[in-house]
Amino acid sequence: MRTAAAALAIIAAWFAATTPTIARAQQTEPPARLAVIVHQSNPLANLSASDLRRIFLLETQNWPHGRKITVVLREKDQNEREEALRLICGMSAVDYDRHVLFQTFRGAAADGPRSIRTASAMLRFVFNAPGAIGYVHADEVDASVKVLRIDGFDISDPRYPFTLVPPRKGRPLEAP
Amino acid sequence: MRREFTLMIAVTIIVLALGTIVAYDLRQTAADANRLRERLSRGLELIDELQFTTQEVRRILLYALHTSDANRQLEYVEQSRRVDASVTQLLDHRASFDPSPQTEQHLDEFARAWRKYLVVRDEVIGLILERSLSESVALDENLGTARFNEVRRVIADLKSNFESEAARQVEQAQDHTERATFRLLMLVASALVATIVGMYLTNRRAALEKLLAIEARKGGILEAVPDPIISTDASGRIVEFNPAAERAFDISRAEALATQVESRILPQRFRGLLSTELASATDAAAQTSHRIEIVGMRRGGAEFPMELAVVTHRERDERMWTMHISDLTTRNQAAEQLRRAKEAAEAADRAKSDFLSTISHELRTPLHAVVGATNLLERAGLAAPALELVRLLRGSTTALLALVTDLLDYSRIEAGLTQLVLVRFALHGCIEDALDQVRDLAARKRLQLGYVIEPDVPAILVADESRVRQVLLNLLSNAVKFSDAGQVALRVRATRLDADNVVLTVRIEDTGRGIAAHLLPKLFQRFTQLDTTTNREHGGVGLGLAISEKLSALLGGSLTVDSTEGVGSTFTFSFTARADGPAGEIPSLDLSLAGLRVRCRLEPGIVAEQIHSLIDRWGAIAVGVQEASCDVVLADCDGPNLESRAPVIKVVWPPTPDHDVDDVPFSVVKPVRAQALFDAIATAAGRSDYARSLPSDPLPQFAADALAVLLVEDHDGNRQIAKLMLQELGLQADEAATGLEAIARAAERRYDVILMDLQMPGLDGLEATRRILAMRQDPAPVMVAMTASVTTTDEQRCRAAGLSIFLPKPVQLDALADVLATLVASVRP
Repeated sequence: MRTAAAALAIIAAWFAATTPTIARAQQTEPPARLAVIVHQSNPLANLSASDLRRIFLLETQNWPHGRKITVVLREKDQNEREEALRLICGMSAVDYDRHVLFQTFRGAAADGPRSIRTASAMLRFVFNAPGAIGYVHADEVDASVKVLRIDGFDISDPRYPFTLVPPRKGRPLEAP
Repeated sequence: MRREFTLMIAVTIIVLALGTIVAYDLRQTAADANRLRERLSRGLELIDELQFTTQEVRRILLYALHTSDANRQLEYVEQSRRVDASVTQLLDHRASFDPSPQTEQHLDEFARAWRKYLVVRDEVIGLILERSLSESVALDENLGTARFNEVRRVIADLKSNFESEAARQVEQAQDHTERATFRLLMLVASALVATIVGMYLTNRRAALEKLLAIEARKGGILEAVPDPIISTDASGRIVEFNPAAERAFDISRAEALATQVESRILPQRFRGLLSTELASATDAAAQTSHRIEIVGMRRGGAEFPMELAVVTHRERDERMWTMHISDLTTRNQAAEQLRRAKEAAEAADRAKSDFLSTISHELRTPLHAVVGATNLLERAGLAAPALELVRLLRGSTTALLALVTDLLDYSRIEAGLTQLVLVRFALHGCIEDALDQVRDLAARKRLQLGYVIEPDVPAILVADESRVRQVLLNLLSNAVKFSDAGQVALRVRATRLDADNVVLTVRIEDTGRGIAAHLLPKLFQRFTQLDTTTNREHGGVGLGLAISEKLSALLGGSLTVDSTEGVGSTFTFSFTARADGPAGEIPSLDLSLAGLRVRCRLEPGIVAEQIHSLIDRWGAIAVGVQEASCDVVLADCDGPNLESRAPVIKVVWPPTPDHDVDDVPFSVVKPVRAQALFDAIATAAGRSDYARSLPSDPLPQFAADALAVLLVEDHDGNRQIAKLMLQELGLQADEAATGLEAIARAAERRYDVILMDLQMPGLDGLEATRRILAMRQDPAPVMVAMTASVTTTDEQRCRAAGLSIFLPKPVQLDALADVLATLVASVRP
């Protein structure tokens, strides 16, 4: 009986050491935001959500300074791609892909967006490509890239539009 | 020697110090060179790395172009950038190889060119990622290639520049090292040379000193040698001439050198001889010395005999001769002196022997008269006190005569005048005669005296009986003289030499005082008595053993002695004789005692042994004491009286003036004579009625006219004695004092016997004999030589003259009686 209690206590202590941080983060930290990043050399500092949507939908293909825009997304089966497309473009990944296919087929766009597997790769891609635009979670941003303000709101601003909803457990990746 | 040593030490120290410095320098240089090489190799490595890395940066970009996957492209891009970083790193490491200012400049140039290229490269990366492939390729090919080529050029420049610089530095370092090495090598070499030179000088000096020492020593020897030594070369030119040679030939060394040796030291007539001799010496063994006796010549022409000992040796392939010259003048003189001395000594020796012989003879002649007179006096019927004096006189005279005889004997033996007279004789008789001579003394001391002859010893021998007897008597009398108790035993063995000849070995064993070992070697020296006290006690002059030994040698044997002090001595006398007749037979025994049973009750000892041996030989049976029956009993006179049914023969001591023979029916006297024992046993056993009369035969009495005798003797006394002796025998003799008188007498009347003295003044006995016999009377008178000196030559001369019988002087009555008795038988049968 005593042994069982001790074992339980140890297990409980382990859970206490690991789970409460998650719990605390969920409770104390503000909801994660999606940072829109570009090359440091990019003169642009602010972008409206609609312009951003057009860029992502490959409708705007060049930066104001003339450079070709390269949209960078996460890989097709990743949540980050799903949530970013939903936030920025207001559509599911499947819809987006259909849209991109249509655009390229139509000849409106030369290439589709580039797909990157991880957040750090996203950062480095944007760092290397002067015409690139991508996104990462706000807490993943580093100094190698430039974070755009959206609609005039800094990412730290509470009115910043792209706030991520944490995915619910057991929820299917594919939108219905 | 010491100076060289110090010098060498100094040189060694300097060389070591210099060597240390140079070696340190070399080591430093080598270390510098090593560091340089390391630095340069690091620099080159870095440059190569830069070259490789820069190309890698560009190459990786090409991979990025070949994929469409953004992730892969990004990987390549990242790779490229990482390499990029390593270039920066490399450049930061430039300090590690300590570049020269020029290299530094080149590196800066490179950094600039590289940065310029990187701008293009970054743009190309962007274009690739943004999928502007053709643009990126175009950019890379145009601007990128140009800039990259610039980078390559700079690196190539850098490299070639660095390499040439490095080569120069390495060359410099190498040069330095080589120089240091060379310096070290030079130093070692010079040290070696110095050492070798030093050693050479030291050795040379030592060798020189040694050589000088040897030279000095040889010079000293040459100087010191008292004999001339001359060395010549092969052609005979003198190269060495020592001071002794200068003296010997009266030529100075300076004069002698380089001149022909023959012309210097030899007289004209011998020149050429030496070179011939030398040539023959060449052919013989080279190193052995060759001796030549030759005549030498001094400067003035004086000649002297000399001996050359020539040795040949090689000196630098040239044959050299060294002659050692002995002046034979002195040696010859010495040899001559020696010869003369020897002759003188021999003459003196002969003179001594002659003197002894003459003296002995002269002594004997008057003694002759004394002995004769004493003999006659003894029989003259004197009263007891006078008779005692006469006996004493006779004893002393006999001793004196023996002594003189000894002296004569010895001198004769030494002078080599003694010659053997070989006669046929019975050994046992000879021994018994000798034993009889010492009988009285032995009896006085109660010494047992006897002899044993081994069965295989021949009974009859041919040898010089009188000499054998003389030796035996001598040894026996010594044995008896020096033994106070116990016994003296004589034992004879024979060893056959061949069919005829035997070596007889006589051992005379006594139980006397013995002789100390250290005195044994002196024993046979003449006139030596071991103890001066024995001289007084026993008399004699110490000639007996010396004579005996010489006689033994003369008789073909030897005389040795074996003695233990306090136990006794054994003298072993051997002589060679011819065996004449079978062994063991004792002659003149016509009866047989075979089977006779004899019981001996004798004390153990030589007498008992002798008797047993004789009984055995005669075939009689010795029976034990416990056996009842026997034919004869032999008993000691000193033993208890026996109750015996068998007749008893007593073995008795000889009669002495104060002890008469025991009055027993049968007796034998010690020492036992074989014949006497035989007779006694035969008589006692009833096998013979023959008994020898005791005492011995009385003198024969001749009828006055039985023989016509002429006595020729120059010495009045001796003639008188001889005449009295003849009268004693019942004969009347005519007298003659000289040879001439004798001849006259012989012419007047025919004599049966002429007793002729040999040594007479005027006409001597031999000549007189010859003349008397020349008268051719019939029958011719029997000529009897009376002489003191009978040698074989004398005897031959006597026989040649016609003197057939010898009567030794001084004439003894018994001997005269014997001779005359034989003559009576032959003259008047």
